[in-house]
Amino acid sequence: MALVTGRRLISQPTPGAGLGGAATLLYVVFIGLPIGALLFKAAQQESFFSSLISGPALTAMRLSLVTSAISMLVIVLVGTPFAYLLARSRSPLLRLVDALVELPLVMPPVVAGVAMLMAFGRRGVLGAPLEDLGITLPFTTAAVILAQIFVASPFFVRSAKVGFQSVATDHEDISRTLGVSPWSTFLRVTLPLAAPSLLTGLALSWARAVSEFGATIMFAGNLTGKTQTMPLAIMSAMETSLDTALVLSVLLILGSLAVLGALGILARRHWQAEA
Amino acid sequence: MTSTVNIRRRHSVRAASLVSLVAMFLAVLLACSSSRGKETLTVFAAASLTQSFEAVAAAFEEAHPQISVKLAFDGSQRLRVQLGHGAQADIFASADERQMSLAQESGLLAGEAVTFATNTLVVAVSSQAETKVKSLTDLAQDDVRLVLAHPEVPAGRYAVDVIELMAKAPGFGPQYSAQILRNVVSHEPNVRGVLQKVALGEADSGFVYASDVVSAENISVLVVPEEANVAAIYPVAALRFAAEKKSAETFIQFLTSPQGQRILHSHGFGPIPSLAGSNSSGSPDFRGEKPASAYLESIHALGDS
Amino acid sequence: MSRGWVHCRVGSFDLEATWSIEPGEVLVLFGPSGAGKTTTLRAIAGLLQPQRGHIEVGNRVVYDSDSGLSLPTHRRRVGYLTQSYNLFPHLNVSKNIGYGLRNWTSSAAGERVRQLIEVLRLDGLEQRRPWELSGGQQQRVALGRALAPNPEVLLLDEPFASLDMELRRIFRRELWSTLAESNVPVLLVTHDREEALALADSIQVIDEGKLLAQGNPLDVLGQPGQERVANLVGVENLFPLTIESRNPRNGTMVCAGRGLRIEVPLDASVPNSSPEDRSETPASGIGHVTVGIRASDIIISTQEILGSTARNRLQGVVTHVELAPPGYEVTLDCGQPLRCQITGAALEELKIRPGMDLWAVFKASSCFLVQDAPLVARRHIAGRP
Repeated sequence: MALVTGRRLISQPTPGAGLGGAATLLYVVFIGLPIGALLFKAAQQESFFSSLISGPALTAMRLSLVTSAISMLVIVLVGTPFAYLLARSRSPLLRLVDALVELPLVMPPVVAGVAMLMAFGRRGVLGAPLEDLGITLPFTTAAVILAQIFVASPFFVRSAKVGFQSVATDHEDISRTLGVSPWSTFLRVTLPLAAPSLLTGLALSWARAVSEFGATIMFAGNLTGKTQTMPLAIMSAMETSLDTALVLSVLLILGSLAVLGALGILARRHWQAEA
Repeated sequence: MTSTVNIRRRHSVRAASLVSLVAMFLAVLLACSSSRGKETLTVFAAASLTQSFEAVAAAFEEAHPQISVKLAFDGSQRLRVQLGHGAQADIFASADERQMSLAQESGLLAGEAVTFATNTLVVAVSSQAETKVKSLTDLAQDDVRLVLAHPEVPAGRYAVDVIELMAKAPGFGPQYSAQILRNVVSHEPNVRGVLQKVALGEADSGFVYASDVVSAENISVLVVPEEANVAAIYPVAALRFAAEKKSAETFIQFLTSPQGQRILHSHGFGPIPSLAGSNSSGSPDFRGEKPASAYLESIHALGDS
Repeated sequence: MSRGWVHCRVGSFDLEATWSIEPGEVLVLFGPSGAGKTTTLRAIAGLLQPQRGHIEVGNRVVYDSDSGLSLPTHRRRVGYLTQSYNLFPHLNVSKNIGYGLRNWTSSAAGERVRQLIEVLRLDGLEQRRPWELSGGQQQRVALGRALAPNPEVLLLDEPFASLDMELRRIFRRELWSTLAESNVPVLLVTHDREEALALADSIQVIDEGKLLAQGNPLDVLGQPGQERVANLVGVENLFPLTIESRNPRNGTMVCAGRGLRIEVPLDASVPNSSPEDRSETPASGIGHVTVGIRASDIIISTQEILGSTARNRLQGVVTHVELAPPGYEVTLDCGQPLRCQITGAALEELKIRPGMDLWAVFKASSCFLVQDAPLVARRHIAGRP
């Protein structure tokens, strides 16, 4: 570590430093001002703290946390091997699949919701036969999770793929010459080395899942305790009073900051902890 | 020394280009908001007025070629908040008296609000669920999936009122209200969402405005009896900071004129209460003789009326 | 021990390799980059599937194209050390070395790691991460990691490439002493002549996937018999000359061409001098030869050295002085450019700079004759069915 920091100290001011500084300032003000204003407005309310821990707010927050946690579990379990295959394979078919991964990113969330209905709705391609089996997805908590997975998984897969690509195949080769099977090699070398990218992807993906609104309202509807996640609760509160909506927004921001902060620390500590 | 000067100059060049960028951005913004040529009348209208107001605006522009009407639709509550935060418009047409009186209290209105239309609630039934939901009493069955607008938006509040009124009416029973509310699978952000879910067949039925079902497909309609129904009042008012106060008055007069009323009626709206007697012939009347628990009517028939 | 042969095709590149290494022996694969050296190592390790071949590692057949046998890499028991070491950055020194000891009991593994740390003088660095180590330390960790599971053969791919000249010497000595203690056969790939001379028990020169020469390192590298090999092993001075006169009594002959005139060993071993070839040369028996002289075999003097046994004394003007670690390379224009290797101290003492008039002195026996046409040493390809 000392070697690395020692080298960093020598870094010279770059010619673009002035422009970079101006851009940073502009950016920080642009992003920081609305968020700061939101927090300030919310904190001004007398009932701020009581609203913060009020029943409906906590119900929505709990639903958001539970559904997004399940979504992340599914995304990581399925997305990790998939991303690894994308990173290592050169097959043209997988190149095509690779391009498909990005599609949910460019779809407006409402369109994603409609697409989910077309597939899993009561009259959907898969939804209709499921309905005959007595399984109905729309308006259920499962639908919330499916919508989150659909819109959020590309963030994880993308980042994980880049992470796996950055792991030199030489490391994997060396591991195998040392008598370690390919599967063990994946667990003992590839995964730990790609972990920072995986965690970054997870953070992005989680952020997207927890802020998901359009696809959820289309596919899962809006019912307190069942499908009403934080963004939907904020939207509903907005119909009554902006003030309640503000408090809920603050709750969502604080909760997200806590989770993202924890993931960030995990990513940074990762290599140190592994030794 | 020369090098310092050079660096400074480069800085100022950068600053200048930054300033010109910002200036360009502002210029574009201003260009967007400035009117050109003929008079432009901006109307903020409730989402449920979308189709009817488009037709009204077209007829109005034909009658007054020097005025061009710009329409913006959203939930009444959201429009009122936007106006309160400085949004520029000449007219506010609300689906709800409450939002209009809140606007009045905030001093947003130029004068008194005028009622220009009424709306009633009906139950939209998905064409897949027609066999399951044949009457209003069927809505209380266990396996019916019902969607309502969020209780905080007018359509949702009216729906809850209507359900409670029905529970008191003969033939439904006191349990009706609790049973029917248990079947709610979603509180949609607006009445359009309710209609969408029913039309797609994802929900079996939902409470919507009579004006909403005029152009809807894949649904049938159950009419709510008059004694249990709630009439939504649609008020309109010119705004205090209107740029075109005179045209605004002209537009409001046009809305309440026979021509304006005819267009609104053709989109499923009821008559203005005070004018109801003199103008009932043109309205699609769901009230009166129709039995309480009852009939299924094709939506296309409604649309044609 | 390890032996075998492989034929690999990677794209349009064809590789034919054959080897046989006894326990404790170091076989050096010498050749330029792209010669197929690394491909050979990867084929032995099972990281690359040959078209055909037969590979034995420690008395076990690990690959045989005829019987369709191919053990996966992790069951071949090879130690592989790459140019960039590829230490696992998420593991510390101890865990890197002990990485391949998963199946050992923890006490045995711990003992093995301790032993290697001591042998490789890594004491005190056990908890360090790879990026906190110097290049030489990294190399020792990588070596320890490769040796830990007791491989049947050790494959070293340019193990000194990322070290500077000074360190290379030190670590070469260290590697040599470490290898001397273990009895593992080693296949080492390099394009550095000095490295090959220092470490090899036997050497193979390969280029473009073909074996050009093999044998004792001093024979092959010291006085390469073929021009292609000579070029590859880095003989700095190669002159195409014409034989002027032969002096069988001294065992020398005089050759000249383009302003250069030197006395060299008699051409008995050169194919050009065989009776058939001679019939093609002019009646006087004059033939064409290529003469090689190593830059380090030339002495430079400011005055003509008279009364010495050296047969060649050439006068020339200095045209270039270039840094060529560990010393300097001075180029003299003696009709043809002659490159001489000298030390920094000599350069300063004689105050050598371009434009100076100097004398180059070397023995006739320092010169060697190089074949013009490559002779593929087929007879060396032993063990090939």
